[in-house]
Amino acid sequence: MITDPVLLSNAIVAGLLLGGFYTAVALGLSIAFGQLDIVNIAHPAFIIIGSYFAYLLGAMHGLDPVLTGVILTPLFFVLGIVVYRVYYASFERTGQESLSGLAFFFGLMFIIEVTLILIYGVDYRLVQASYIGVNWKIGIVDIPLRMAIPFATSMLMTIGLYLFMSKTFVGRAILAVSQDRQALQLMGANPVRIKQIAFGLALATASVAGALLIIIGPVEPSINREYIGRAFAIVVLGGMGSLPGTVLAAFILGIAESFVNTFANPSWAPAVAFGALLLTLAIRPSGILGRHS
Amino acid sequence: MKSLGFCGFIVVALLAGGAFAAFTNNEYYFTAAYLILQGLIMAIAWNVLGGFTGYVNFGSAGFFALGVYSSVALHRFLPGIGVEAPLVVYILAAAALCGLLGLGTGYLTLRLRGVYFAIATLALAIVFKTFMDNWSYVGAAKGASIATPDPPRLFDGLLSFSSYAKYLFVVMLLLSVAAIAVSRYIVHSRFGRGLAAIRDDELAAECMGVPTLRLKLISATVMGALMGVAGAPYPFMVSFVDPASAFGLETAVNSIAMPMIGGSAYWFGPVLGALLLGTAQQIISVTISSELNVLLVGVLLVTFVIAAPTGIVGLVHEFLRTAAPARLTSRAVVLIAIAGLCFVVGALAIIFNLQLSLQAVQAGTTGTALLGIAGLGAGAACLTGSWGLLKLKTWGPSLTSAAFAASIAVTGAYLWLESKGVVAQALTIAAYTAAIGYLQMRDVRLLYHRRPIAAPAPA
Amino acid sequence: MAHSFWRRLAGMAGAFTALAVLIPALSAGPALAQEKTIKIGFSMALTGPLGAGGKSALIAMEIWRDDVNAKGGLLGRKVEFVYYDDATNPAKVPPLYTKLLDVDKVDLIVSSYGTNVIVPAMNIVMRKKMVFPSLFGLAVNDEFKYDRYFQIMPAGPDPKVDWSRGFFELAKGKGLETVALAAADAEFSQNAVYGARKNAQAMGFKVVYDKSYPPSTTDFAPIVRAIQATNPDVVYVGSYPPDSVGMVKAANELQLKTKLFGGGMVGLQFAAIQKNLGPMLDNVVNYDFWVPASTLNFPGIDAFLKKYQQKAAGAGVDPLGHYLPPWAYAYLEVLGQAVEDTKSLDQDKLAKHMQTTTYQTIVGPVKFGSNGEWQTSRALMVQFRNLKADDLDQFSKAGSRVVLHPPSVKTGELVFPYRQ
Repeated sequence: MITDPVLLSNAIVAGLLLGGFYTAVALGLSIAFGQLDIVNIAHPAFIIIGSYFAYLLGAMHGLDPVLTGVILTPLFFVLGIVVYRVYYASFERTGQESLSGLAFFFGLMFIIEVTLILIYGVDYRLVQASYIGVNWKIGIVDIPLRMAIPFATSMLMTIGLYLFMSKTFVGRAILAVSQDRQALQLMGANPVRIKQIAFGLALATASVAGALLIIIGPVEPSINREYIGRAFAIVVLGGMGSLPGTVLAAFILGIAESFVNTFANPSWAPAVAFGALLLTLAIRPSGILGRHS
Repeated sequence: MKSLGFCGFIVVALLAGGAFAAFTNNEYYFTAAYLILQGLIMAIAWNVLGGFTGYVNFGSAGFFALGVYSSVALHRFLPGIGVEAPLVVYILAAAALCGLLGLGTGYLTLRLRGVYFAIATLALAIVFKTFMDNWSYVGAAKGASIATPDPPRLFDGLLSFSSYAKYLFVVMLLLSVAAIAVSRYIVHSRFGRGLAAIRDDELAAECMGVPTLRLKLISATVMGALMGVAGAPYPFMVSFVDPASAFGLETAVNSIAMPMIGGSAYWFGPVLGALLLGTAQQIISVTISSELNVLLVGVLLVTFVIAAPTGIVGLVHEFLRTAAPARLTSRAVVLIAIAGLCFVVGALAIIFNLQLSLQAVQAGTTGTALLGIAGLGAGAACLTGSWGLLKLKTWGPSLTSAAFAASIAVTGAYLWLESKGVVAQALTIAAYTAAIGYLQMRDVRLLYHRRPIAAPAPA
Repeated sequence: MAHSFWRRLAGMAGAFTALAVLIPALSAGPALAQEKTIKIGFSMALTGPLGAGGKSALIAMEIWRDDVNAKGGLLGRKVEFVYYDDATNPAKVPPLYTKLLDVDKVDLIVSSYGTNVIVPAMNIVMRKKMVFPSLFGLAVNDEFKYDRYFQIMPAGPDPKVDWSRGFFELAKGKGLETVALAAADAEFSQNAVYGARKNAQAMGFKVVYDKSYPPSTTDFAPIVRAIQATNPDVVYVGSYPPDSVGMVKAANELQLKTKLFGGGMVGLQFAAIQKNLGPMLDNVVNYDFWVPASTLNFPGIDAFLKKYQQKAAGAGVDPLGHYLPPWAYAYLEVLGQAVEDTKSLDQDKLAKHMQTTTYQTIVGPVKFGSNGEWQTSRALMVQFRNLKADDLDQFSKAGSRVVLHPPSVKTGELVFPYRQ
C-alpha cells in the first residue's frame, strides 16, 4: 500500500499542509520558549482565545476568520507585553524562573480555560467560510482549502517573522538576547524591552494560529491541552532558538502523523510523535537545527 | 527532640484518623477523605523530585495512571490463576512497577536541563496513555469496570469495616503517614542534603563531589514508587477507569500546586498544601461547581507563585526567623494563628461570596449581588492582610484588623438577612473581635514598626 | 504572662471553633431544605467533555420538575432536586452519590449522563438497593446485572449490538458486501464499533478496514483516504463531535466514494454542528433517537420542545434540543409515574413497577426488559436529505432527517448510494 502513488503523494501533501498549521501553533512558543527560555504552557490557551475571537467576529459580523486573526494581532501583542511584565517582575528579576515560571503559566492556562468555559460554555464552536469544504485537485493530489489556507497563512506569517528577526535591529536584538544578554546590554539595547517585544510577538502569533485552528475544526476551551505536548515537542525537536528548525520539526511531525494515519494504525500517532521527541532528547537534546546550549 | 515531635504528630494523625473511622459510618466522608489523601501522597511524591531536587515533573498523571492500570491488570490476571490477593499486594506491585518506571524515566531524561526534563515527562505521559488506549486487556479506550469488593475482615474478625470505603480510607491513611515519614526522612538525611545541593546549583554540587546522577535517579525512583502507590487503590474506589480520566491534567496540576502552596522546600509543605487545597476542592465540588475547582487551582498557583513562592510553610518559617529568632514566643504563635484564621476566612469568604454573587447575578437580585461583592472584597482584604502579617509589613496589623472588621460587618449582615446558623456566626464574630483586640496590643505594634533585625532570607 | 496566656487561649479557641463550625455549616446547606418535599438527587456532567449535553439535560429535567410541581407535585408533595456537577470525571462520582444518599438523604436518585459517570455510581446504588433510572450509558448493566437499573436510551435489549443493527440491515437490504470500521479511541465510540463489528460478522459482511484513531487527530483526510483505498461498500464511523465534523468534512473534500456512510457519529444530532455542516450531511445515514417526524409525534413532545427552546436560548446549550433533552425529561417521567402509581417512595415497590409497566411518555411508549434496557430497540437510523447551507430552521421541521429504521416508525426509503 505504501507504494501506491496516489496514497503516497497525498500522504506527503496532507502532512505538509498539517505541518504548516502546526508551525503556526508552535511559532509563538519557539520565540517564547526557544529564544527567551520562558516556559509558556499557556500558549495553546492563548491560541484558543484567538479562536474564540474569530468565532465571535465571524458570528456577529461575518468576518473571515483569517482576517480576524490578523486584525487582532496588535491586541495580542499588547497582552503579551503585559503578561511578560508580570512574569519579569515576579520571577526573572529575582532569578527564580524555572519552577515558579512554570507554575505561573500553568495557573494562567487554567484561568484562561475556565474563564472561557464560564463565559461561553463547553459547546463546540465552528466558523463558516467560503473556502471550507472546497477541494482543489491537482493531478492525483487533493488540496482541501480548509487545510491549504491555514498552511499559506502560516507560511506567510513565518516568513514575515523570520525576515523581521534577521533584517531589523529589534529582530536581531531578539536573537542576540537569547544568546548573550550581557553583550546585548553592552551594545546599548535594553534586554528587558527587547524581551518584552519578543514575547508580545509570540502572543501575536497566537491570534492568527487561533483563527487557523477554528477553520480546520471545532473548538472548545479544553482542547488547548491537546496542543501543549505537540507545540513543545516541535520546538524542542527543531532546536531551541531556531525558527527554521521549528518549521522543519512541524513538517516532520505533520508528515509522521499523516503517514501513520494513512498506512498504519492511527491509534499510535501520538506515540510516534512523542516517541520521536523522546528519542531526540535522548540522543541530541539540542534538536535538529539547534545550537548547543 | 524534633524526632519526638514528629512521632507525636504521627501518633496524633493515626489516632485522629482511627477515631474518625470508628465513630462514623458515613461513606461520603470516607470517599472525600480518600481523595484528599490521594492528593497528599501525590503531592509528597512530586515534591521529592520537584521541590527537593528541583526537577519539575509534568507527567505525574502518567505515573499515577500506571499505578491505576497495574491494579486493573492484576485484578484481571490474578483471579484467572485462582489467586485472591489482598490490597497490599496491588500496592506493592504498583510501587515496584512505577518505581522502576521512575528509574527508567530518570535514566532517559535526567541528563537533560531542568526544563527539557519537564517536557520529556509530558511526552512520556502521552506515550503511556497511547499504550493504555490500545491495550485491550485493561479495556483500552473503552475503559474497565471493577466491582467493589466486600470489606475485608482482618485478624480473624477482630477488625472489620462497615464499608469498603472505610477500609480504603484507613489504608490510604496508613500510606499517607508512611509517605510523610519517607519525605521527612529524606529532608533530614544526607541524601536530602545532596538533593538540596542539586536544586540550588547542580554544577557546583557536581564540582563538590555530589553524585548528582545517582541521587537524581534515586529521587525519581522514590517519586515514581509513591505515585504508583497513590494510584493502586484508585480502581477499587472509583470502579470505572478509562485512559481519558486516569491520565487527566488535573492530577498533574494538583500534584504541582499542592507542594507549591504549602512550600516545596519543606516536608510539611506538600502535606499542608494537599490538606488545604484538597479539602477546598471537595467542599467546592458540593457547594458551587466543579469548574470553579479548576479556576481555584489556577488562581492559587498564580498568586502563590508571585506573592509567596516559598509557600505557606516558607512564609511562616521566615516570619519566625524575624519575629521569634531565639525561641518560640506566644506572641509569634498567636500572630501565626491570626494570620491563619484570616487566610482561611478570606478563602472561605471568596468561595462562598463568589457562589452568591454568581447566583445573584443570574437571578437578578442586585441587593444580594452587592452583598456578595462586598464579601468578596472582605475576603480579598483578609488574604492580603494575612500575607502582610506574615511578611511583617508595617500595614499588616491595620489591614488585618480592617479586614476582620469588614468580615464582622458582612457576617452581621448575613445574620440579619437570613438567621441561619446563628451560633456559628456569633462564634466567628467573637473570634474576629478577639483577633482585632490582640492586634492592637502594644507588643504587636512594636513588632511591626521596627526594622527586621535579621537580613532578608536568600531566595 | 497570665494576661497574654488568656488572650492566646481565647484567640486559639475562637479560631478553632469558628473553623469547626464553619465547614460543616457550609456543607450542610442542601440538607437544610424545607421538609415534606420529595428530593431527587443526582450528579450531572455540567462541565467537562459531556458538559454541553449535561447542561441541556438539566434544563429538560428542570422543566419536568416545574411541570410536576405545577400539577401539585408527586404524592401531593413538591419535588426538589439536589444535584452536583461531576465534571464528566469518574473520580468525582462516588463522593457525590455517597453524599446524596448518606448526608443529603434524598428520596430518589437518577444517574448522570454518560457511561463513565454512570458506572462509578453503580456499586453505591446497588448497595443501597436504590432504583436507578439512567441517562444514556452504553451497556452499563452488562457488568453489574442489577435488576433496578433502568436505561432510558432506546438502544434495545443488547445495546452494543442493537445500536448499529439497523445500519447493517439497511446495507444487507441493498446487497452490499464490504465494510470499513473507524472509531475514536474513547469509551462510547469503541463500544459502538464493537457492536458494529459483531453485526458485520453476523450478517456476513467482509471487514476490509478496522482501525481506531486518537480523538486529538487534527486532519482526517489521511484516514479517509486510507479507508477509500480499501474500496468499501459501507463505512461505519463511531466518533465524538469534533471528529464527526472532521470526518464528514474530509469525506466531502475527498469525495469519499462509498455506498453507505455514517453509523455511530455523535455530534451530528447537535444543532450547531448540523447548521455548520449543512449540505455536507446529505445522504449520511446516522443514528438518532428522536427527530421531528410524523411517526414520532408523541403527545407532549411538541409542548416540551417549545418550553425547552425558550429556556435554551441564551443558555449556551443546543438550541433545538432534539437529542438528549426529551430523554432527560422521560427518565424522570417514568420515575414520577412509578411513584404516583405505587403511591410510595419504597424502592422495592418502585422497582417492581418499573420492571413490569409500559409507560407513556413524551418519547412514546417505554418498556424495560429484564436487563434494564429497552425490551425492543427503537434506535433510529436517519438519513439527512436535501439540506441547505447555514439554515437552522430546516432541522426543526420534519423531512431533513428521514427515518429509515426501525420499520415501525419509518418515514421514507433509503436514498442510495451515498456517493458513486
